Formats: sequence, C-alpha cells, structure tokens
Amino acid sequence: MPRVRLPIGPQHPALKEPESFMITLDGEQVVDVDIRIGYTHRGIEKLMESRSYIQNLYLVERICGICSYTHVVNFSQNVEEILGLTIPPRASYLRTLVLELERLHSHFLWLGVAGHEIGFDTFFMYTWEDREVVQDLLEDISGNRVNYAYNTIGGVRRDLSDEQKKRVLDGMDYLEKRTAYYKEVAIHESTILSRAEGVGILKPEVGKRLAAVGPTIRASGVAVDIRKDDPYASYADVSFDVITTDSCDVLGRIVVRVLEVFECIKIIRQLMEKLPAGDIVVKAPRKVPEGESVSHTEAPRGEDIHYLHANGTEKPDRYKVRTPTMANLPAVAEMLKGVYLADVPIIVAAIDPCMGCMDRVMLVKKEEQPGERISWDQLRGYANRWYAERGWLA
Amino acid sequence: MFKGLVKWARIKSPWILHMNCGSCNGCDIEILAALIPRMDAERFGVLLKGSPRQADVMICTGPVTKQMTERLRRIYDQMPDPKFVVVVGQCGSSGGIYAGAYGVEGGVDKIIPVDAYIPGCPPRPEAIADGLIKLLAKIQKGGSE
Amino acid sequence: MTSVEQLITRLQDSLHQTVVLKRPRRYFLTVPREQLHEAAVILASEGVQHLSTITGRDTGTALEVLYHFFVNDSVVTVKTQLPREDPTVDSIMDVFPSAVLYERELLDLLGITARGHPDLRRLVLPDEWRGGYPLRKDWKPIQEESHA
Repeated sequence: MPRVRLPIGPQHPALKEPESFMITLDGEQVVDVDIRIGYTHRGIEKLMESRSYIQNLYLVERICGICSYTHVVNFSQNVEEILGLTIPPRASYLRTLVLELERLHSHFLWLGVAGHEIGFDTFFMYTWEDREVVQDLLEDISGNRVNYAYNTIGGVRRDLSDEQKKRVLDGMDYLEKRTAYYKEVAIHESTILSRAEGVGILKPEVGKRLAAVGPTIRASGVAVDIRKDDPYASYADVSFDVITTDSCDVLGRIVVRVLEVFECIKIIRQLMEKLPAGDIVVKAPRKVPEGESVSHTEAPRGEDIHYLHANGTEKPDRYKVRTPTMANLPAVAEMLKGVYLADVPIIVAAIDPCMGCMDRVMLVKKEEQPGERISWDQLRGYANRWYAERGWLA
Repeated sequence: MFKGLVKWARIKSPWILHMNCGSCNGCDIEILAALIPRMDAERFGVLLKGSPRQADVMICTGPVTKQMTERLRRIYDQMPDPKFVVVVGQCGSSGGIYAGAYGVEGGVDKIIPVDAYIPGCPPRPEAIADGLIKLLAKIQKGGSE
Repeated sequence: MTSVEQLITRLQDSLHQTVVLKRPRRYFLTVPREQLHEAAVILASEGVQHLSTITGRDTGTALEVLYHFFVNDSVVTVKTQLPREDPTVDSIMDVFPSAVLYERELLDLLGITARGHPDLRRLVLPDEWRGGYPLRKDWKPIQEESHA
C-alpha cells in the first residue's frame, strides 16, 4: 500500500531537486534505506525526440543547472561523432576551459553546501562568495552565469579575447589562494573532522561493484577519471593529476574535491597558455545520418554518459542520459546502512547529489508502525544537536 | 493595533519557503546566491524558513513535475493567510524549456495562484532580489487579493 | 583485469558474434536475447565491474536494450533485441548489482521486464501513473484532467 507522504516543507537551501529517503531505524541507527527518485522527472529524453539537434542543445543544458555544460559537451560530441566532424582545436580548448570552470563553480558550491549540512554556515558564505569569481568568468565568456549556450554542433559560439584570457588567469590566481585556505580548514578544522572523519565508509570493492563514480569513489582510492582514462575535448593535451585519497570517508570526499580545485586551476592555466589560434566552429549539417554513438565525460560529480541513436533526420531517434548522481545512488544506500541517523545528512551530501535534495525523509522505526515523516531541515537540526550534545560544536 | 504590528513585522521580514517543483536547479542556485554577502537579500529582511506553517511567501521553481503536483498543493494549503506565491524562472511561469514534456504540468499557476513572476532562465540573483523587494512593497501597500 | 583486446577476443570466441569497433575505444556487440546473460557473465569473469548504464530503445519493430560497460579506456556496448510481444530479458543483477536502478527504468519507461530482478518497481514515474510507456514509439499521451 503506498505510503502517503505529507510534505512538511522543502528545506535545503541549496535546493537541489527533491528526493525522498525512506529510512528504517533501529534505535538511532539506520538499518535500511530506500531512495525514491522521480520528483524531477520531466520527460526530457522523450521531448528531445521532437526537437531538432540545435534546439536540443538548449534542452540538454537544462537537465541540471549545476553541471549543465557537461551534458552539452556529451551531446555535441555524440552528434559530431556520427556526423564525422572534428571540431577545430581552438574550439576544443575553449570547451575544455568551460568544462573546468564548471567543475570549479560546482566544487565551490558543494563545499558551501557541505559546510551548511554540518552547521558551518560561515564556510558556506565564504565559498559561495569565492564561487562568484567563477560565475563572473562564466558570464564574461558566455554571456550567462548559468546555462551558457556556449556550444553549437561543430564548435563553440563565442571566442575568447586576450582580455578575457587575462581575466581568467587573474581569477585563477585569486582562487588558488582562497583554496589553499579551504584546504587548511578541511584538514584541520575540528568541526569538519568530527563530522566527516570515519563517517560514511565506502570500501573500494563495494564502490566498484556498485559502479560508484567521481569524487565519491576516488575518496576510496580508486583512480578512475574519464578525463585521463578516455580523454575527450582537449584533456589529452594538458597534464594534471587524478586525485584520490584512501580514507573512504566523507572527509576524503571533501579533500578530493578541494585538491581537484587545484588541478582545475592547473588545467585552465595550461589551456590559456597553449590556446591555439584558428576557427571556433566547423559547419555542421542539420540532418544526422543513421548511426549511434556513446559519449561520456567526467562531470564534477562523476561519469556522465549519453547515448544517441540517429536516423537520418534533423531530430534524434533516441537520446539517453545517465547522470552521475544516479550512478551513486546504490552506493549511498549501502553507505547509510549501520550509521547513526545524525550522519545521514552529511553522507548523502558527500556524493554531491545533483538530484538532490532530499526535501523529505521518512523514518520507519523497526518494530513500530508506521513511519514518522520528518523534513531534511529537521533531520539536519537533529544531527547538529546530536553532535553538539557530544561536545562537537559547529 | 497589535494585529497590525504583527502583520507589519512579518511582512517587513517575510519568511520564505522555497519549493523546488522539479527544476533543473539553475534558479534555486541563483536564489541562494541572492542570499550570499554580495547580493544579500537578508539585508532586506528576507529569510529562508522551513515550515509552511510559518511561511509568508512561497518561492517556486520548476515546471511542476507530476510527482510534485500534490505536494505543491498541500504545502500551499498548509501556509497560513495572508500568503503569497512567487515564481522564479521560466519553467514555473510556463513550463519553460520543458513545455510539452509528458512529465510536467507546465507552470505553477496551473496548480496554485501566483502573485509574482520573476522571469529568466535563470534570472540573475539581482533580479530575484529585486522581484522579492517589489513583492514586499506590494504586500505592504495592501496585499494582493 | 584483462586488456580490452583480450576481453573482446573472449567475447567473440565464446559467443560466436562479431564485435564492431565503431571508432577507437567504442566497441559494439550484438547478441541474441538468449546470449545476453552469458555475455554479462563473461564480462564479469574477466574483471569488468563498471556498468555505466542500460539504454532501452524502441526500434519501431522491436525493443532494443543496450548495456554500456566502461572497461579500462573503452566503452563496450552489448546490444540485444526483444520482440514487442514478449518484452523480457534476463536481469544481469546477479553479476552486475549496479544494474538495479537501470533495469527498473526499462520497465518504467519502456515496459521491458528484466526477469529475476528482485525489486522491479517504478523508478521515475509516479506510482499512480496509468499513462503507458512514454519512450515507446507508439505511445500517445493521455489527455489528463486538469489538476487545477
């Protein structure tokens, strides 16, 4: 019989798409987790079948407003592959630039959100202020802060001037200093350590078996990064490290993202230094011949994979998108088993759920009937109080 | 007089409930960005609150997916009067880029009454703050009924 | 884990099917439905663990299921077709537990049943959805009453 969920109110300030967790408790510990999704199911894949490829660039971008460009790149790459198009090197570098800027904004966003989850709101304010530097650059380059409309099939739509290049590099200098500070905080600040160290363990064997992706699995020592393993755009032209830690916990996921910020900066500097001259686009036909292709990228959250089946018309016959957060859901469910309820918010937040928030949680106490509904805000409040009682104040 | 004072106090610092009705998050992030130091809607007395029972204003984003329809209606019903609804973004206004998709209703006003629309895809934080302030002014002038 | 080339050789030899390399690092293997599970077992036995996702597609005449695996540096896609009158396929969850959500999505949006999946529920459509399988080509939206 379907449970009726009375929504008590969406909370999470970084209100990402609503998601629902059904948690079975024994005392204060989680025994089982069922994650319900679908609150953001809009029907995009079907809609794409009635839009032209060019129109779909704008739709695909809005699958997610945080890592939107990675979807656009996957889409463009799929279409270009079937068309047999090679985009000009300058366009490829510019795409890589925007991909890395997106990773920067996304990681800063997440750091703030993670801080907020454990009651560390000052951290949220600082990181989001710094994130504005990236947003300004994105707006400078593309014309918009979110949803950049930067690609076309065959290349990119806007070129980068020397002044813009300089502004990008200045932005990187600033962010590098700020991130050095965040690194210190992440490693030494007891508020974070007490809530993140040893919490939300994901053993590498489990992570691999459940096909977890991104920083979530890299924090368990698994060095998978599609930019390195199956390079796309201009990643083969730049040198950078794949960041892993061995701690397998939430702290590891924080550290991985902070260190990845340094790698983003490193990559962007190389891209600016080596930016080739030339065109930014090659002409692409409107109709795409019969064919299929698979493209995947390392989005900020992990592997984002797209599949296209084309049928010789102006519209895709079938387009499939699997976002990174979806790939991490089975691992999250596993990570939550056996943990204290108070650890649930930060463990879930640590996968950087793009679908997610978790605006309502349902607790089902073992041996009792029926579930009590609480909101994410209440759960966060409970978690922070639980830790405060034990002497770990935010 | 006391009632008037309470109403004035609440409206001066409206408690805002944020409702994501299936949005891509673009608008939600910009709403938040409106709160950070640079934009700082808090300066204008705007606070994000949790429970619908304490909220004055509901900010909605998203085209309203089928799974969110009942929830949206229920939360709206739980809010006490006077209450106001602001839609942020194209999707909440008309379905936006998802108009015609099978999973969406196609706009918040298909489900509940809306008092103000802040268009954009997404609108900038300044536009969101500006829209909220204009709504506050409208409320102070005498409600939107 | 074996190299991708060795894996491809093993797949071809055991299943007697040809693997097509559409472009570097993109392999496609089409198998009849009866061999799908065996293909999954072979992949798992060679150490492949990362199932990226499963795509379902209505070709118009049949339903096609594509399993995308990320192996070292390549994407290996295994495809199979199912008749419309019997849109079922063996679940591969016993060897790839990460198929859990993807197989549910196949049912939800295309009406494809992965036999043996322990918990085949809807994934993304509302529980009360009676509108059919949206990703089918012959799907027509039902005119629902307005909720307003």
